[in-house]
Amino acid sequence: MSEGRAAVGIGVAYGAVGAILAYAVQRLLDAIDEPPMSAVLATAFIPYFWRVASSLVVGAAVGLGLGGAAAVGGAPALGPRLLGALPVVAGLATLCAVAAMLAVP
Amino acid sequence: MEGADAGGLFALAARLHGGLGLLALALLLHPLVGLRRPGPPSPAARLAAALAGGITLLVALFGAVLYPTYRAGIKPGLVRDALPLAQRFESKEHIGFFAAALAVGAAALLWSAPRSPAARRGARWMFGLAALCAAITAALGLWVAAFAHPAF
Repeated sequence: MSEGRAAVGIGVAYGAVGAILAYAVQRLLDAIDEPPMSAVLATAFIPYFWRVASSLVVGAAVGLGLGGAAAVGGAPALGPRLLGALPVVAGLATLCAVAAMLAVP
Repeated sequence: MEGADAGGLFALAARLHGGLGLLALALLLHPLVGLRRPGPPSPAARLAAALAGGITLLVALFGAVLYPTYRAGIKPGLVRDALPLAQRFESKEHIGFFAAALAVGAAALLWSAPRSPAARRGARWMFGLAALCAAITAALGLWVAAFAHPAF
C-alpha cells in the first residue's frame, strides 16, 4: 500500500475517534454548571453546534498529528502500530462516550 | 394555514430523516459482512463502504438542519411535559454524531489502504461501532418521534 495514502486514512480514523472523545468531554464539562434546560431554550446560542464544531477542530488536530507522523515515518512502523491499536482505541473511546451520553444527556 | 404547512413540512422532513437513518444503519451493517472475507475488498464492497460513510454523514447533516426547528418548536413542550423524552432526544443527537464520525473514518481508512489487513480490520471495527451508535440513535429517535411531533 502507499504509505502516504494509508497515513491519510489513519489520520481520518484517529481524527474521528478524537472528535468523539472531545465531544463527550465537552458535554460532561458543560453539565457541571449547566443552567436548567428551559433557560437554554430561550437563547439563540445552540451548544450542540458549537460542541460539534469544536470537536471537529480537535479531531482534525489529532488526525493531522497522527496521520502526519505516520506519513513522515519519524517513528519506525508507527503506521502499522496505529492501525493495530485502532480497534481497541476506537472501541474503548466509543463505548465510554456512548455510556456517558446516555447517562448525561 | 402557513403554520400548518410548516408543521407538515417539518413532519415530512423528520420522517425522511428517520427513513434515511434506517437506510444508513443497514448500509453500515453491510461492510461487517463484506470485510470478513480475506483479501482486498472488491470494488463493490468499497463502494458499499463509501455509501455507508456518505449516507450516514448526509443523515447527520439533515438532522443538523432540522435541529433548530425542533429546538424552537417542539423541545419547549417536551421539556415542560415530558422531560425524560427531551433528554433522550439530546442523547440521540450526541450518539448520532458519533455514528457519523465513525462511519466517515471507517470509509476513509478502507479507501486509503484497502490492501492492508490491519486497515481492513480497523475499518471493520469502526463500521461495527458506527452501526452500534446508529442502532441506538434509531431506537431513541423512533421512541421520541412517537411523541415529539409538531402537534405535540
